[in-house]
Amino acid sequence: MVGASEAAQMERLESQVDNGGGGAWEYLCLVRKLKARRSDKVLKHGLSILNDHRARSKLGAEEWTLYEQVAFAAMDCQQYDVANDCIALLSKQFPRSIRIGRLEGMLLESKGAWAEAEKVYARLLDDSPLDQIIHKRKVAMAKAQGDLSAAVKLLNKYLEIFMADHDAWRELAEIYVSLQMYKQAAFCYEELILSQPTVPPNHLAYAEVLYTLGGLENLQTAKNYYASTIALSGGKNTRALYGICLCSVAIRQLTKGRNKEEKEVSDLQTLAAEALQRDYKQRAPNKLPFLLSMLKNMKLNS
Amino acid sequence: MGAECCYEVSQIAYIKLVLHALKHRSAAVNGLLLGRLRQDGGATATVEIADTVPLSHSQIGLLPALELALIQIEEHFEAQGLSVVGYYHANERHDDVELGNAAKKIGDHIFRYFPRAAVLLACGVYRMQLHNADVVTDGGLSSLAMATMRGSLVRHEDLVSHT
Repeated sequence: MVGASEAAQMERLESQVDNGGGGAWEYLCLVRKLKARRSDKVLKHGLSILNDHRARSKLGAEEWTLYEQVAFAAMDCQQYDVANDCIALLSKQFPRSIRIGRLEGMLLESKGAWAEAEKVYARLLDDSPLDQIIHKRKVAMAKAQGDLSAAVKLLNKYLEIFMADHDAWRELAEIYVSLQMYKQAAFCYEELILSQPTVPPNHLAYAEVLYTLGGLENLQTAKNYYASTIALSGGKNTRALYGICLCSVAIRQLTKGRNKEEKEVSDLQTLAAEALQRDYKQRAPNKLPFLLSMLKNMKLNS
Repeated sequence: MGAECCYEVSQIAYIKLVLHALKHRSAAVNGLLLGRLRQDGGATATVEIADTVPLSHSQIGLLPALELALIQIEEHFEAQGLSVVGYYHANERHDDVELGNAAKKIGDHIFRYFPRAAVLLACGVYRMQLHNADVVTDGGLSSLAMATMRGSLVRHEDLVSHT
């Protein structure tokens, strides 16, 4: 996940390079590090370096990393000739390399030639059966063809072996959410929270899934996880603050008539409401009226 | 969605919808349609879709963002005489022209409050499917869309980016 300051730095570099201010290589390195998907920019600026002899020779051995990055970007922008050329140069330099073999598989994937890509990956897996990236490419292919249940099966099998792969757990959770299999998604987020307990987005996503599942117990747990998100992110997470308000309202509706719940509920909710108001006053003062009327509604109607 | 009903999509609504989908090219996006019902004095009624509010581009099946949006939108747009008249959705894969379950559920929810609710599935920049009928935009609209797209893409924000 890209942090806010790094995202800002990337935007700055991007506009600098776009306006002819140089720094293309820096920008490309940052994009690679943050794994951001800026394929049209990468293609444009990467090619401008690669097509210039002097700039290319200045890179030295990094030249090949750039070829790989540009090949990915070209595939994303459907410039198959460019991708083909890059891959050809790379395979001349590194013959029989699995990394290049993967690129060839991805090129076939991007053209929609699923069966051929499948064959390429099967051949590569024969040589190295524990290559994580190839396993994940197979999941990506299933997803790209719209076969979400196959993607889920493959991901589950993958996670039985590589259970520490956080990105895979996150991907599985998102697929489950899109299939509305919320209980299974909750399980994935639980795994993520267990292995990365101090990462706020996991807590936030778990809270949202619990809220969607509904039911008193889930709502109360959701509120706890919204609260932990706020604690972990230093009070800056607007969605979590909103989440607390929503949970409080929903819980109150479910426990109408049970008096003892009410007092402990309102403390957290009042604090969250105040924090939201402070936040809006600082960052989006023209949207403050929406927030105020919404909070008023929540206190009055439920 | 039963009776004789015409749906009119305004330029601003259409442009915002398309821009939202274009900003997040590799994700599914959704949002709400705002407008009003116009009784033309005969048997047909027209639903004017005057504006859209982009909602999210990730984790579309989750409730909190949707509920927040519905509450705040009702408050704000009531003053302008607009209400939620529908929902738009653009799938992740460009060749996926089916209305997914999550989209159907949200559509049903809106239908309960507004029986002539429209669910627009964007199948591409110039083509949209209205639940039960086809809505095709005309040339004038699409050329305007192309012109405004370049500049506006970056400044476009949805509810999820806002929070």
